Amino acid sequence: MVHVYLKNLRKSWLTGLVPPLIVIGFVGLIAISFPSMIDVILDRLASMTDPVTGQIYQAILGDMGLEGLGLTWQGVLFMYTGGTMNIILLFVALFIPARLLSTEIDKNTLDIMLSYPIPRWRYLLEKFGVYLTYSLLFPITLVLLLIGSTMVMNIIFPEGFTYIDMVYYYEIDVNLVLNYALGIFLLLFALGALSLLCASIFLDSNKSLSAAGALILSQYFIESLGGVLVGLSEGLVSVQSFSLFHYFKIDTILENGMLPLFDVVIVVGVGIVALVGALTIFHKREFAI
Amino acid sequence: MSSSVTEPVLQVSDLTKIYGREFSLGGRKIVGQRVIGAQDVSFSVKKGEIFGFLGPNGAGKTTTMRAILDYLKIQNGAVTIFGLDHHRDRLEIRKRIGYIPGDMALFENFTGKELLHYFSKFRPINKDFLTELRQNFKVKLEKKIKSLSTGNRQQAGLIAALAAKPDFLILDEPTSGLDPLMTANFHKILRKLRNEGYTIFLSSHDLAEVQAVCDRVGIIKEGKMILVEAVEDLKTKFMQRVTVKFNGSSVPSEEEITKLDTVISVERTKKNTFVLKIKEDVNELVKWLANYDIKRFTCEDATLEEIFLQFYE
Repeated sequence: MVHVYLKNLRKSWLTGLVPPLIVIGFVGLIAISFPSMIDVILDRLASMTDPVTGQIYQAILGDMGLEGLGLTWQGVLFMYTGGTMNIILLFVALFIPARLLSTEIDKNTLDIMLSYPIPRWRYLLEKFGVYLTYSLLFPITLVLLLIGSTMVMNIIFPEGFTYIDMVYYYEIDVNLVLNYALGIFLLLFALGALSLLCASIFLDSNKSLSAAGALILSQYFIESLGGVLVGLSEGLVSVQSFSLFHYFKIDTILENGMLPLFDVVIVVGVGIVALVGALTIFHKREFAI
Repeated sequence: MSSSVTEPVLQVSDLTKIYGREFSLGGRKIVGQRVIGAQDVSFSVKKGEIFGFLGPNGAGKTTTMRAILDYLKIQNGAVTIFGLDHHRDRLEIRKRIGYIPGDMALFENFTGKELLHYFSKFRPINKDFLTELRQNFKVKLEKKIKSLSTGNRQQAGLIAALAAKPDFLILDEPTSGLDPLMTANFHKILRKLRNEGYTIFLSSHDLAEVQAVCDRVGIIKEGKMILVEAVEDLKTKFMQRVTVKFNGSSVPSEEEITKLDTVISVERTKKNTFVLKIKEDVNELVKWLANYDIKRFTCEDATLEEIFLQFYE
């Protein structure tokens, strides 16, 4: 049975629920305030999708691939969810898996746990399973929030909204939402596995967080700043492919009608290799005093 | 309880653990700072005995215990528990052992009961024994671990580790933090377990504890096992305290007495009275003293503490 999983699932509900609640709160707030702030919000979306000004946003928030969405309600939703999710991805995937082991080492509880008859790799896998379970809340929250808010807006404002003399309706591409949410989950898995690998190698809190931070933040900046610098050298495009944040962009999902298979293979592949590496190292390593 | 009577529960042979790394770079061997944790440590713990493991700080007690539990990789030697290899068969072994680490820490957000429930999923609890443990320890298991005092946390940890009544207990300073009454109760439990055929490997700094519960003792110093002996034999075998009071003016000097092979130490308590600590054989001393006029001669067993200090120094 999965006792370690169940125990940690129960005990870490607060840490697990807070980040998705932040997403709900923030994106929900934007959705609610949209009718009264149409001009401000759509101007920002126009800036983000503009080839010149968009690069500034991209350097901070990463390239979300919003260009294909236009100045629509759907574009607004993805602008805020995409930006929020990129930040959430950074912090959740970095801090939670990297500290799965180090908190036990710091509190000295691992010593007694390892004396029980449970394979070490399984102990770690069950703990990572808790992280994955709470990570599932992000795509589920996103799907409910995006589709739900669109339905509500359609009921309240069936006539749509007007922006620069054009009428737009509250519409959303369900297929895009589902694929985007799945992509977010796969990224949480892969980035989390990389963070877990660092935890398994270093065990110590500071070293684990530093290594995971370097690994994940460098990928984030390769993608965000690299995208800005692509104009200087086309060779940087290939460098960006080393960043997991480079995959599952909204425009590529729109283009393919689903998550691109190549992207899935890369992200899931990196995740599996990192996870197997973390489990193997943890299973075989020694635990010095 | 399925171990054979003839086979020791724990057999440690030539265990060597050296900290520090050695690797090759471009054909050159690079050696990091190397510290000997344990070197050629050999001993066994028989079924149904309490084996005390002693040594000064940094002597290698915890290293040896962690190597036995397969927390540390050893460079040389072999460890078997219940006749099974400690590394290859570690899961099988863990079903039958209980371990209390030194500086034990528990999940702070759990209550004592939740802790017991959680651990019971991995090693089923012996309900009768749990009742007995709860009668001997006064900790309230309904409280969260983080709200308990150090001593009560230790009690909760002891209950959690012992509740399964495992065949073999590995205890690293289990009574640290316990008050004298709880310590006495714990010793009572250990003795009862021993009498029922359970085996206990106990590391301790408390010599009174070792004297009170252990059948045999091993002393480790600078990573090497320097002695394995029955506690009862230690007193007569390793040190006796002799008080000699000389008569008249013919009194030897301290230097003369120290020259005798059998004498470990000499202390002049009065002008013509000496307290000697001597090794097992008193013959050499008695023959030498025959040259003097002796007013009083008493010979008694040294305390366990004096014996241990002899090895520690």
